[in-house]
Parts: sequence; structure tokens; C-alpha cells
Amino acid sequence: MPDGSEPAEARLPVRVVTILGLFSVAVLLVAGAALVVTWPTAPHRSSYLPIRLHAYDPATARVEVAPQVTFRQGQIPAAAIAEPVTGSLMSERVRATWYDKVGYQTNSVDLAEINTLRTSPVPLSTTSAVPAGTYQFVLATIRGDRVEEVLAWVHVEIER
Amino acid sequence: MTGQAPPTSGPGREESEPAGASPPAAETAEPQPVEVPQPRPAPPSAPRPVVPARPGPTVPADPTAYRIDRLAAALTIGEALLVLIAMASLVGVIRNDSPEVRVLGIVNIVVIGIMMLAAVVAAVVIVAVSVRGGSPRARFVTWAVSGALVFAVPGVLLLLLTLLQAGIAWRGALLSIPTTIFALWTFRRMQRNRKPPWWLLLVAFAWGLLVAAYFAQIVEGVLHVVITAEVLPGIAAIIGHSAAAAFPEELGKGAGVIVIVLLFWRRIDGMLGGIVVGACVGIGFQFAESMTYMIGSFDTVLYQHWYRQVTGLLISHATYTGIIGAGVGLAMQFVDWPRRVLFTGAGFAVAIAAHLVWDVFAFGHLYWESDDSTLQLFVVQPLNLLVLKGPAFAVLLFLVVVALRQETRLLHRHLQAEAGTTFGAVTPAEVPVLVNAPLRFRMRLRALWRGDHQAYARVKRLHAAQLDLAFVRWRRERGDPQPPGAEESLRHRIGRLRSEPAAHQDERL
Repeated sequence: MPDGSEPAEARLPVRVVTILGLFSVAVLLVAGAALVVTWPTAPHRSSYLPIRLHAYDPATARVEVAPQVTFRQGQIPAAAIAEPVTGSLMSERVRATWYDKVGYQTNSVDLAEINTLRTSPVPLSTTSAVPAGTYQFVLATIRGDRVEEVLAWVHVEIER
Repeated sequence: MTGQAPPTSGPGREESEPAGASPPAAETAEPQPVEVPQPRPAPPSAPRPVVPARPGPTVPADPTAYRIDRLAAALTIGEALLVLIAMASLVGVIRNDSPEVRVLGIVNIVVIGIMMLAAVVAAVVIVAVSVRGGSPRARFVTWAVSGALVFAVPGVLLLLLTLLQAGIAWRGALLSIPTTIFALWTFRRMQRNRKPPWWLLLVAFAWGLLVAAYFAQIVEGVLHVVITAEVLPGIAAIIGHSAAAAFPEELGKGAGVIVIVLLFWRRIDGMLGGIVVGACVGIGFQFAESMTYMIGSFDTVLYQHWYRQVTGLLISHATYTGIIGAGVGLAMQFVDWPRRVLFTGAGFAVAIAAHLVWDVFAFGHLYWESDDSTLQLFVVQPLNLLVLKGPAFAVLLFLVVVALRQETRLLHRHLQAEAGTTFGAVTPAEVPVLVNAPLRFRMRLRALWRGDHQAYARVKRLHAAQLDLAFVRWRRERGDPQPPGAEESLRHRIGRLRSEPAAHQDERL
């Protein structure tokens, strides 16, 4: 901060750097606030629903019948629930969403009944091949537009 | 802030300075067996006669060169980075999310453990030498050799690792050499009055390439793994990943700027010097980062080269670290710690914020995309960079302008003050030329145009010495310890250069 020991020539740089620094601190605080506000708070199911992965072909819009664990570049994974769901969860609205490694949403489908996901897997992308890397699939119940409970969360690796 | 010049310096004092005035406090601490150029009675405005060549002054040993405090601070920063790497590695090993992270983590912990033992041994040696009361030089050398030995093993490992990486991505590495040289040259050109030596820029480049890149790779890698495993994907994860990239990368690069400034403080002048050093650290980091992407098919290599080494070269890491350098360079100009911390912190804050904003946009795919690959490559992608990274680059350019303006005004003041004395190292007529780089260049060019290479070289050396003298005066004013007789030695050199015979004596010399 300015004081008597500061040469006259340093006044402008001091002001510029101080203003830029304050502005940047404000940006960082906004980012911190956004992190706090958007931090996921939905509870997770005590034991996740088992998820099965299939290879999806965007050209024919069909999935391979046989499930796969690993995927290679060019293959598109599609997620389905491995077992039929019974009880109160059957009538819950669910959202099946794919994300890339850093959390960007690549595909999302809302379903009126969770068991639809047993016969109709949700692909990572419906339009084109995706680059190699880690992807995430999240299945959650929703009320309105809010996630109520996370039913399943899996990480899938597409190798080079 | 009053903004008044300190009463012990400035034109007012210099103009009234009697002949043979007392040297500054920093120089009076040591005996001064220096032959001081005698002032002449000629008035300051009159053309000055050529000073006859005399033997060079005997410069005594320079006790201020042995700044153990700065060396110790630099070594401490190095150790702190290693401790952070060890901590991140430990998290990676304990969590065991991926075999690669675990293996690399174990290697890191073992190497850093050995280093820490070596550091303890070095500390014992340093204490022993200090207790025995060696000379400042002996103590400094002990610190320097001990530090070098402690950091030698990880240094060699980092070098081998980088060479291995360059070997794997050899096409990308080869393609990146010309663009990297261009970037280094460009940033070096920004320092118009006193260009830093190439070796210093290469040291900065090497820090970015070897140290900062590895530090970021480990710390950031572990943070990404933890966030991916623990934070449900969404906006918070995007911000978390962006922060996991921005903070460690800027910390690793910025630490390099501080270390270089601490070790080579006499070679770095103010804010502009900090910007250039910071940018060169960033260019080294950019080189290492580019290599990690330039693998696979040649199309991929070319695309990544275009993206990272052509369109994004100057406006990415070079910009962020250049901004950190501006903060560090400004902090150097003050002797009190609160302002040093404030301006260094401000530089870091700007760089981290700019980097974070870019990463949030990039990770969140908040940019334009085109289905036409040609349009995407040559129009949309550069446009995205211009819009999202351009503001940070504009801030850097603004800081360069501000720093250059400050430097020019300081040089002008000190050159005028020098011209006001009767030493004859600078004449009033020379001041406008010396603070104007294009005019200096034109003067040299005129000599070259006449085919007088000797005159060209002499003018260049004379201007450099005169500007060096102004920089020394500036450093003295702000309280940096100077070698005994530094100003006298430069005045003597200037006198010698003026008196050198030339085929075509330039009347303006």
C-alpha cells in the first residue's frame, strides 16, 4: 500500500497490481461461493444399484446384447440396471446421466419408471464417438428438477 | 502514500552533489580502494571532452554478493515443493485409486525421503561451518554446495523423465522447438532497456519444463483422482477440477519465479524483469504440457501443436506466469515485507483467477464449436482462445506497458541525475536517446550503415554501460545492496568506451 517510501514512478504499477489483485480475489471468492452453492448434497443409496454396461452403436442406435466391462476407443458405453427394481422405487421418476471425467454432462435421460432402464440402456453419447478417457454414469431419483437420491454412480474407462 | 522521492536520492540531491560526494551507505560499509573518476569543471550542458583511457579500477571482493538469506529462502521453497509432492504422493498411495498413481507415489516418497535425510546432513554441515565462523564466502559456498547436492538427485531424475517424455513425443517435441524459441525471443524483446542474458531465460524455461511440470503432474493428478472419485459430477466437480489445475500449476510456476528472483536478483530489474522471467517459466511449462498431448497419430500431434504451440503459445501459461512475475518484480522494489507479500500475492491471485476462469469454461464446454473441422481449426478455436484467454493476455500486455513506462521514467530520472553530476558518464544530450530504444537502435544502425562495425559495437556497449549505471543507481535508491564501487566501475568503463579510437567518430558519443 502506498506510503512515503514509495518512489513516484511506482505509484501506477502499485495501483494497477493492487486493483487487479483485488478483482482477482473477488473472482476467486465468487468461484468459492459457486462451489459451495453447487456442492452435491443429495444423499446416496446405502448400496448402489448394480449397473450393466453395453456397447452402443450410434449408426444403428442399437446396443450389443452382451455386457462389457472394458471399452476401447470408438466404442460407446450404454448403461442399464442389472436387476429389476421392486418396491416403492419402481414408481419413482429417475434421471440417468452420463458425464465426462471432469463432470461435464454428455447425455441425460429422464424416465418415468426405473425399470425402463433395464431394457433400454442409456448411451454415453447418441451422436458420435467419444475420445478415450474416464466417464461417469449417475442414476438418481428426481423430484421436479432436483436430485433426491443417488441410486448408482459408476466410473467407466474408455481405453486408447 | 506521498509519492515523494526519498530525501537521500533523486535529482535534487544529485544536482547539488559536490564533486567527489560520499558514496551511498551500502558502499561505505566496506573499504573503497576504487579509483573514482575525477569530476571535471566543464558545465553539464557543454559537450564533454573525451575521457582518456585509464586502467580499470580495482574492485574489492563483494560481500553483498553472498546473500545467504536469499539462498536459504530459495532452498526452502524447493524443499516446500518437495514436501507437497510427498504429501500428494502419500494420499495417492493410501487411496490406491490407480496403480500408476500408487507406483509413482511410492517412488516419489522414497526419493524425497532420501533427499530429506540429505537435507538434514547438509543442515548439520552448514551449522558446523557457521559455528567455526568462516568467511561470508565460505558460508555461502557451503550453503550453495549443500543445496546443490540435496537437489541433485531429484534434478537428474526430473531431467531423465523429461527426456523420456520428449523421446515418446519426439515429433511434438521437435515441432515445438522453433515455436518455443520464438516465444522466448519475443518475451526477451519486451525488456527493451536491459535484456536478460539467455542463460537466465533458459534457467527459467528449465524450471517450467522440469520442476513446475512435474510438481503439477503429481499434485494436480492426485487432486483430479480424488475429486473424480469423491465429488458427484456436475458444476461443483467442474469448479473443483478447474481449481485442482489452476492452483498447483500456478503455485509450481510462481515458486520458480520467486526462486529465480531470489538467486539472480542482480540480473532481474523490477516488474518488467519479473514479467520476462515469469513468461519464460510459463513457456517451459507449456512445452512440457504440450508433449503430454502430442502423442498418437501425426494428425493429433499437428492439431495439438497448432492448439498449444501456435494459437495458444503466448496467451496460456506464459501469460499467467508472466503476471505472477509482474507481482514478484513489483514486490522486489520494496523493502518492507507487507508490501512484498501483498504484490506477490496479487500476482498469484490474478494468475490463478485467470487460469481458473479459463478452465471452468473449457471443462464446462462453454465455448463455440463448429461441425466444419476447417472452420473449427482456423476460426472457431482461435476465436475461443481470443475471447476466453485474450483478457488475461491483454492484462499482461497492459502490465508490460505500465512496467516499461515505470522503468523508462526511473531511468530518465537517474540518467538526468547522473548527467547533472560532473562525472561525465552521461551528458544531458544523451538522456533522451538512452531512454528511447528505437533512437538507440537507429544510432547503432547508422554506424552499421557506414560499414563501421567497431563503432556499432562501441555504441552498443556504451549505451548498455550507461543504462547499467542508471539501473545500479535505481537499485541503490531502493535499498538493494550493491557491489562496492559498482557505479565508479561503470563510469570508468563508460569513460574508456568514449575514448576508444574509431574510424568514424560519432559526434553524438
